[in-house]
Amino acid sequence: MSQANGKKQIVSPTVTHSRRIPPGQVTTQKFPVYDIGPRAIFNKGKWRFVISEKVR
Amino acid sequence: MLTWDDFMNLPRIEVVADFHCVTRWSKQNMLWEGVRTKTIYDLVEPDSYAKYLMIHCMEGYTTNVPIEDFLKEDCLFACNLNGKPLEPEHGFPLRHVIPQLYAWKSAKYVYGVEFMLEDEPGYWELRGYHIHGDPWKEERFWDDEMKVWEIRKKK
Repeated sequence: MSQANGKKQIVSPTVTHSRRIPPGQVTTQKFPVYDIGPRAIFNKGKWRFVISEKVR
Repeated sequence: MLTWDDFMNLPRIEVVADFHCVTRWSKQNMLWEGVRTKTIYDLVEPDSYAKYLMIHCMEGYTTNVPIEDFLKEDCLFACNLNGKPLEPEHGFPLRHVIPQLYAWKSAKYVYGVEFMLEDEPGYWELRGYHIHGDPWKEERFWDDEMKVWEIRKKK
């Protein structure tokens, strides 16, 4: 872990993994997009982060 | 429950990580910025028996994650990518990023987490994607189709 711009910076084990590219994967420079439906509309005033528990 | 301003005032981190999609592409050295998932966990101190989470997203998408993965040091709720706010197509305003699992677990448009005592499949897991999703074990799909159908029937 290091400090960058006053924030802690963490280097993920995905970067330092001895086999950095997992089996069956190829690297790309693009960042492809997959969505399951219409994109959500963000309303800053109404947005809430909800934390709940499911107890049986 | 946290407002957007509450969330933005939580301590931030940066994470440099690779990103592996189950459709077989990998993107290296992505710089995410946001709030560590551990920060959220510490805020709520959930039931100690809760071993799994469901991540909930604004457009109805869900995905399940074991707590031990959720609490890894490189796991965060990201609002920035490579120094800029997330683009809408990449999950603005908030994306759950869990680099050590396939990218369908890094859910876009996140609005909440649900702590669970037992594991349950989310959106893609109900449609045949693996319940866990470790790229180095190639956990892409369920091995047992019958198990998927049993779970879907219960839903």
